[in-house]
Amino acid sequence: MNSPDELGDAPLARPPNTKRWIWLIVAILLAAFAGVGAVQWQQLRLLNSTVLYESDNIVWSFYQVEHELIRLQHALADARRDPDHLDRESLQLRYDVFVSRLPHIEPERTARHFASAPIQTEMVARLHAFVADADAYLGPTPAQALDATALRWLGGRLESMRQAVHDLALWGNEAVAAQAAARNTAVRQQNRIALGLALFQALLTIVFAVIVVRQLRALEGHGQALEQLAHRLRSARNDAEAASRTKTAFLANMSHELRTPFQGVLGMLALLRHGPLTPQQSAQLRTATESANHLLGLLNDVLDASTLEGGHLRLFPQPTSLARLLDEVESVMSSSAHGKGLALKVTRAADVPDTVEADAKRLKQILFNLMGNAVKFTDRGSVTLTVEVGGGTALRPLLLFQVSDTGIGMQRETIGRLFQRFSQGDESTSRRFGGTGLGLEISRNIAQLMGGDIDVESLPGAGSRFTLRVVLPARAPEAPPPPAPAPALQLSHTPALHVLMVDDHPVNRDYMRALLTHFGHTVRQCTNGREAIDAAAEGVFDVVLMDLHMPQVDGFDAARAIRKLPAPISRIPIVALSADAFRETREAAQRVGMNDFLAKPVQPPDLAECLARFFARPAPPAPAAPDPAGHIDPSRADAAFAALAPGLHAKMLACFFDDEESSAVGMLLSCLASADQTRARAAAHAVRGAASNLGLTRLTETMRAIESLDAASFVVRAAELHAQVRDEVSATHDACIRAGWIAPPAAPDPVNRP
Amino acid sequence: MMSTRRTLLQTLPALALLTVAPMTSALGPPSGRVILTIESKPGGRKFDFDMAMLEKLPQRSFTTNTPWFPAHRTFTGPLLRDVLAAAGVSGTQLRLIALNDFKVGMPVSDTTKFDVIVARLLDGQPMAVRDKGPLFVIYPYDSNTELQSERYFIRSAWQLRTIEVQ
Repeated sequence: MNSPDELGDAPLARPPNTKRWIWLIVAILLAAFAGVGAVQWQQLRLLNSTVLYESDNIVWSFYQVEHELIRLQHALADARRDPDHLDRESLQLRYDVFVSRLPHIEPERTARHFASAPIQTEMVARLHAFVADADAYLGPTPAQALDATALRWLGGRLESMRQAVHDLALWGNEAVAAQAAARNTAVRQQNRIALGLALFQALLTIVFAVIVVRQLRALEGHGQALEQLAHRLRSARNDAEAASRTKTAFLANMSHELRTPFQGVLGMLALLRHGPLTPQQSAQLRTATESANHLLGLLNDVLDASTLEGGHLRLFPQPTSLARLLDEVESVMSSSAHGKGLALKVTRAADVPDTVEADAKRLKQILFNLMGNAVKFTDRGSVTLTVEVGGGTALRPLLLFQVSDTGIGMQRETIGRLFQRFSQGDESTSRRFGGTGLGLEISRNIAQLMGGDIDVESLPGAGSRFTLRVVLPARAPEAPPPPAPAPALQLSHTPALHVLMVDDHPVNRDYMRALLTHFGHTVRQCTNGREAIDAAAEGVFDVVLMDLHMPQVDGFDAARAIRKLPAPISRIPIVALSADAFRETREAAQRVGMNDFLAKPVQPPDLAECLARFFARPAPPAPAAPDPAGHIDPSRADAAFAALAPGLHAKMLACFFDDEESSAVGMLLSCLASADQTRARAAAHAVRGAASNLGLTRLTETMRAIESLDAASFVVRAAELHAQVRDEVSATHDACIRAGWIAPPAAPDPVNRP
Repeated sequence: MMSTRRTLLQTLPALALLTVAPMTSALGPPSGRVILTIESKPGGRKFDFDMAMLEKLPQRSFTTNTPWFPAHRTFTGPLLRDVLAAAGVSGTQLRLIALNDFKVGMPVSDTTKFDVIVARLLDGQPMAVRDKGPLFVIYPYDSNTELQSERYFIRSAWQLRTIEVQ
């Protein structure tokens, strides 16, 4: 596994130094670009100045002035030679053209290109002075006649300036050349600067590229480091998941393995219970049974939790009577609640449908868990289960199963941890109340599997309220099923069978043998599949009960082999036995040709029912309608108890109907006679527990009524109730005789029946 | 912008005149002093204009910066292509000759590509010879940056006197 150091070592953060470098280079590059831009702009401006303002070449302008001066001189000379044919127009044109050239050499005009010199300003001033004088003869409005004197004077003035104008032209030429040279130098200089900047830029770009490459490499390195990290994390996760899977499988296997020997313990305890026992032994046996049951509950929790975690748990919803389910929950919880002196109340609102589509087993599991917790954490007061509609539609009502108690309650932080695995209220409650801490997690997971959830409200000291919210589709109430005959009665319809019992575990074998013998069957035991195949080949058996997991030849192979034996032996019913109740196992058993499946620990009624499916005879004439008046209901009798020990059932019934003062019924009658409500209520409670387990419906109802009476009503009705209880006990006794549950007086003891 | 629109508005009637009536007959022979001569070189045919004839042609006016004046000025005169059409000459190359014997070439295509005018008014006033007049070839420099170059500045002859057409 990776240490935190290893994981944290990867240099994921970019060093700040590099960042600063990059910014610096970007800044310098920008500055270089700006410099190059400035130089280019400067060059463009230089070029523009030459293009825009040199349209009339300056040097050309200077020479033009000289040229036109000479042409004007010639024109004046011509005119002087022949004053009579003076071509004034031509002379005028020459003069005007000469004047038009002058503005082009004025200092303002050339200032853009080079600084003016005294030679220029002086000369221009002289030229202007000449024009001012000449305009008197040749201007737009000549004031004096252009005679020979004037012509001579004008010619002389021009001649006096000619050399100076020539010098000016030369000076202009020089100045322009100097200016051009200066410009060229500037351009060259700027070119050098631009070249330098370009080189600098190139250098920076190279540096930049190097840094980028380094960065990319570093990035690649980071990427690889990240990839490695991700890889390590992935494999760590896989390891963790594998460990978790192993743990889950281990838990499932362990709980499963534990259940196998446990079956033996429970079975043997059950068989012990109806032997001749001293009261002390009975008490010890009860304690042992309770402990074993508790242990089995814990094992079941662990198995459920691992099944849920593995995602193997499936729901089997089917139409379920809520009324009956709630009755069952109440009757199971009542003994523990009343044992702690708690009032237990189960109410169902009128608008809650009677029949819903639900996995009854799992729904009961949740309710048992919630109510079991409520009872566990409540020392006085009451535990209440109310069922009401909290929304949804008529066809798909949202049902709220609320379990409230008046117990110790919980702190807010406790509630937060409540649904977590292995968590109980806190360390102290764990020590005080015991348990796996898996119950609530399982319940909530099942609730979520059903599409619902469980939430909780609680205040320390003020009790808790757990609410299961789940949508259960309403179904039309089914016709009440015909009262299933009590397994005790059913057994008598299965003929004595010759059973081949295969199991490698001696405790299981002993348990099964005891159970089967008790049902009146004969048993041959085999310890592995090989023996079983040989035994089956003898062809003397009615049915094979086959454990699936055995050394050498396992149950699957043995079943396959038996199916290959010659008919009719090959058609013998084979029932698989396995503590492994996964659907996959059942399907595998079916595939190899096994006919049925019994989950270990094998419950006596399940075994009876299973055998009856193969071998039940048509029912003998009913021993009178069980009980039209509803005094007794065989389906409500404690099936396991009755199935395992029909004789015991009869004994218990006989004991129940004993009218001695010491029996519970006798106690109740005497308390009613003396109108002692407190004791009557306790007695009624005891009677109800027994009556409920024995399937004595009417009496159970009556006891419930007595328990719920208020003080005033009790005093008024005590005498009336005394008579009612006495009559009902008598009527129920008769009904039991009619149903064949107990022998009529002087009849043979049913225990001796095969 | 203003000048461009005005240019367009004035071009339309000019084109109409060009197509509807032959200019030569409408303008008549020069009555005043000849200020512009168009010479068709191969045939040696000459066509003289006095100021009145140029005035009669459709006038174009625009304001533009030039290398010869410190600020922008407004120039007015007929389009060079109208002047050539009025003279009834055709060719591919022009040769502009100024009073001081300055000579410069100009492709005829310039006259169609650009609204080159033969300016006779500067800011609404006739130009004297000493003010680069009386005629000045002006391109609308400000309307097109291509025109702001030495190539076109040199073709802008001032003191224009003669145009030879080849």
